[in-house]
Amino acid sequence: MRAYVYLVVGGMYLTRRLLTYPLPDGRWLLINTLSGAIDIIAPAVAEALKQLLQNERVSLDPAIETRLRERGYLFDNPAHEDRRFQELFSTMMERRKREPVQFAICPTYSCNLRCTYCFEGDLTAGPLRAMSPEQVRNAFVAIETIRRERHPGANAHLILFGGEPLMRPVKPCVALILQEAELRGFGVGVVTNGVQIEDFLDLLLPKKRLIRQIQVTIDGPQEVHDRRRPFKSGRGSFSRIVRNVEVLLQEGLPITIRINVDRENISSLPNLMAYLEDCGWTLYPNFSCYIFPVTAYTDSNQTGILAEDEVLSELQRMFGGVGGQMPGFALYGFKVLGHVASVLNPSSLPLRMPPLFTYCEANGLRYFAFGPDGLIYPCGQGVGRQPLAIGRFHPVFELWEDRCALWERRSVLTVPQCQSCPLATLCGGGCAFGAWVRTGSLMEPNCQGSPQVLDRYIDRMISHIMHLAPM
Amino acid sequence: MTSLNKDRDLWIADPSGGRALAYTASCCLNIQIRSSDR
Repeated sequence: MRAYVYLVVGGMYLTRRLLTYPLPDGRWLLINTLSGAIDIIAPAVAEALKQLLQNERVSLDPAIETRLRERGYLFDNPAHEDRRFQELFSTMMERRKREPVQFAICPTYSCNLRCTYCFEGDLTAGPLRAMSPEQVRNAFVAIETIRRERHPGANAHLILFGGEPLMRPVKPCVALILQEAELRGFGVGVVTNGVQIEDFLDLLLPKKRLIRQIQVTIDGPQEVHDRRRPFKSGRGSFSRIVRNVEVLLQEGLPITIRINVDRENISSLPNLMAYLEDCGWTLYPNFSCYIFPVTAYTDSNQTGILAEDEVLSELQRMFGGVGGQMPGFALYGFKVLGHVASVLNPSSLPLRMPPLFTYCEANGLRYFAFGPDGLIYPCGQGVGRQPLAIGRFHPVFELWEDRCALWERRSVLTVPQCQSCPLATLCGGGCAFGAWVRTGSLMEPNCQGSPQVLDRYIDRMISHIMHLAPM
Repeated sequence: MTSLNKDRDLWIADPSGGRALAYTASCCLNIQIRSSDR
């Protein structure tokens, strides 16, 4: 009783980083975006919290009050809550320093495919321009300098990116990149469309131990894939990719199939999964597969986008309902639903998500992309868009600190509209590149309907949620 | 009050334990980085 009186006198402040969802039986679902707690409370407790939200004094059962404090709902005062939030932010920033820094090298921006949803747009269609040997060497000089001066002690990872990095005209450039990577002990990931891999086997196989992953995109069974990822001529790319992946799997290289899903192809997933099994690929230990929703980073050319809740809903419908295990593939690219779905339905999203103070590794400058234009970009989505460049590596290396600072600083604590948003740690402020494209500023949020996505998801999951905690 | 996730899994208890993969999941490539990488 004494403790209770003390707490009332000392204050009982309900976090504003709170999302509440009334359930049909009078209980509330609480999602705490400071602590990560997700709880269901009885109607009487819900009433008390309602009063607290209106800054009224309430009487709470001491056991419930203790529990609400343990779960990060109740604080002594707003300053106490803010201190916990800042502590969490600092911890996350410290942990992030231990995450690898990614360096993407684009030997060219050109591509031999014309995918219907490509975010790079016209950039891939111009005359082929490849990095010169001098540019490649200067890129590695820049990488070493960035590592030494900005991220000392952090692991680093190299990614071959583009455009399409495995095209015959840029083979000498790719050979030099692999050679330089080997000299410096970098692991290498390759993001490729897979159509000309057969011409790169003599480079890739001798460097097998460097290759961490070769990612090839297949968007569906042949008919679907060929419609979405054709050659310039309009001819389909499926058969060549399948033939090449087969060889890489047999050679023991680590292959990841990425499936970009949107409204056009999601219903073909069961057929694609069956095809991959029929091919015997899923039996290879060096094979993995993941789904990534096509994302509207820009407003152009992006019809048929599925929101996160729509993707999950479709997958649950096709693969066995809400508790069903997703067969044979991982799901990535989930932000606003990442944490909530991993708690409410871990069979659909088993990967536990941390609080997102930033949207991705571009914020915090932990991603550097090097293009054949000699410029350095902070984000893979933004390559070739010169106003987004943060420096150059050729003919001389320099980082433009004013631009770097914007990317480095962007977080839910610095974007004004995110500072008091209760969803902020679920969405990380949204994609910075998208914010820049839409508004011209990195310091704008890029909400992309996150509140509605979460509301719709909870609505669809109501009966499952009530089943998790019978009254 | 029914808690749907455990106290030890709260962000305030362990903000990123076992979740490194989420951070290496960039938009273009999802890679499991080996600790032996530079």
